[in-house]
Amino acid sequence: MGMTIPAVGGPGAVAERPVFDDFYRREWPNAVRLAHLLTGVDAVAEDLAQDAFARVHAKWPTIDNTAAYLRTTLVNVCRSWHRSHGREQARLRRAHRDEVAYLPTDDLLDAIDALPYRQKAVLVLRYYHDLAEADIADALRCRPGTVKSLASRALEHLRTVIEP
Amino acid sequence: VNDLEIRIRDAFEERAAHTTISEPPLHDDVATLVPARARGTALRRVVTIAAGLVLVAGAAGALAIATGGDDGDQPTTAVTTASPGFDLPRGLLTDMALARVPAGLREDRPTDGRACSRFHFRRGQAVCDRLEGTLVRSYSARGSSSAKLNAPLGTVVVYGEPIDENDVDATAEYGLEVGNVVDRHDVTVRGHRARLIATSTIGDAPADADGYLLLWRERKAMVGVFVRTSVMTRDQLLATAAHVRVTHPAARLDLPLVLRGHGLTEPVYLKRPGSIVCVGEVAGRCLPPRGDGPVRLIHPNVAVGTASTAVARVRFVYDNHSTKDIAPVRVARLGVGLIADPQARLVLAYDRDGRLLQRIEVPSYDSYPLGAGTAGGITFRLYNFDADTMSCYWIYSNSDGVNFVCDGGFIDHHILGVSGTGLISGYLEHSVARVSVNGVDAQVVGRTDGSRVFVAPRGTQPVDVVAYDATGQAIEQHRVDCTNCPWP
Repeated sequence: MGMTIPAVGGPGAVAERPVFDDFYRREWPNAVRLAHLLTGVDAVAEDLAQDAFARVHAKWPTIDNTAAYLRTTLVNVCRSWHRSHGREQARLRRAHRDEVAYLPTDDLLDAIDALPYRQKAVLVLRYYHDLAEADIADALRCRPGTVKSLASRALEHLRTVIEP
Repeated sequence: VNDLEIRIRDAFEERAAHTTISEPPLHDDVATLVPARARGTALRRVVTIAAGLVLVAGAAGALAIATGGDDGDQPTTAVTTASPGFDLPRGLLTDMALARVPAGLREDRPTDGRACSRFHFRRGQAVCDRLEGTLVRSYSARGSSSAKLNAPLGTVVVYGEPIDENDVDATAEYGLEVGNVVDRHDVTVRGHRARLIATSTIGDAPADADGYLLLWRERKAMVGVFVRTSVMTRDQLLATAAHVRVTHPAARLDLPLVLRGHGLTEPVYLKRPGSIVCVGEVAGRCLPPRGDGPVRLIHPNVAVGTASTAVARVRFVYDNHSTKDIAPVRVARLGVGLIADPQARLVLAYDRDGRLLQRIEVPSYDSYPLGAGTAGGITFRLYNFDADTMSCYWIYSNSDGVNFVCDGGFIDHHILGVSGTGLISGYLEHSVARVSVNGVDAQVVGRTDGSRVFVAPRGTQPVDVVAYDATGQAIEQHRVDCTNCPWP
């Protein structure tokens, strides 16, 4: 299936601030896809994207690089969801300790979903959005060296999981 | 680039390609994106339901209705109603320049006519934080019902959880009129304890109000929405229904709300996707939806239904034996489908393998009376009418099969219409407490579209119809001669 240009995180993101309506309509699908990739859960992607747009809308007059701002916001929104979802899953595991059998992850996406959020985000932004390390660092609010480290650890882990 | 990285790229593209992307949650006017928060989560849906009025649905069932500009396409300028727990943050003021003081609510501090520029809802109370720049305490929702009744259009009417016995809990009653709140506690709606959350009207003035919304919550788990308006076409209503979703506060299920309006003359209550509580009522009795299979019909003449995920294809069969196959429209992430065809007489549902899951004979109107009553020992049932023109409706008797068609014939604003051949019937406005025909009280057979319909047994023509108000004073008298009224 052909992919649209992921302007939300893609290189050459729009620097000129467009009208919000147009921006919203144009970026909506890409934002939803990015949220899906960052969370691994299709069902929450639209809501998280909408949350991100609402935040962007509130800051709209002051934003210079709208696409980058949306991307960073979405990464943060998904991180928040990841945390709360992780706590929820932990509670479920405790509550159903004896009832739930966990299947081994034999699929690449399952293994990626199991990664710590920042490692996963680095992979998404690098391999789906083809962002440079500096841009990924901006989105994650860390140093480029940290991005490199996170990516290295993620790939190393994936190799051990899917290429035993 | 090694093999693993290629696989990762492929996996991401595969996942992205299978992302469910609905239409942007905002309707045509994207400018109505409201960065408000409802219980900590940004609003999810902003839907324009009529000119100047948008319905915003937040998380956990929070709802608000906001009025927009003159043409409805402008950014929201004022919140008119909101459900408890709906919190309007400071940032909202950039778009909602002015949120009016919720009139009809008891004021802990006089407003001097100034506007409340910021407020939020706490425990069902509208709390005004800022009054044109001045921080104020609060405005309590614990007012008398009369105050609520008198709340003008464009103001907040919020009903909260009972705090003490003096608090007035709202009543949701079928046929509730604009601003007409019945003062009763512990209201039961369709067998469930209900609490009205908010009402609103569409239009700038009472005389122009041609629709309203009712939002209520049942057992803290169900949220229902009425819309009755003449400004929307049926297609608009259905399109709106496909876009509006309210989150189940407990299970976080997304409920498709099917709205009431043209072609959908009965409210529809959705407990959860695929589970419709009632499609209407007769004498307070819930009318369940038709069908037990994965497709459930909501209304006979529109053939709207919800479909479970097992349904891959639906075939409509028409009177002329022609068919049309459609796929259930995805309106919620849970795979609920909403299908509609006003002409279908038979609905067939198939699974992915082409197996027939269900066959539904679309019932006729006769199965869904809108109201019933007795007059002269005859039970009448009201089945249909045109709310816009009031030009046609049917009343069937169950004894001799007599049916009756009204051709309109409006008189004035008290008795909205009187006509008939042998039978007298008409619409009453609310100021009418009683109507007599030739000195005998006529039976009011039910409320429909904001008015009441009365019928009187056949008698000698012409007859005198008199409308009385609550004080017993005659407010309108009309002589009806129906010798030229049409029969069906």
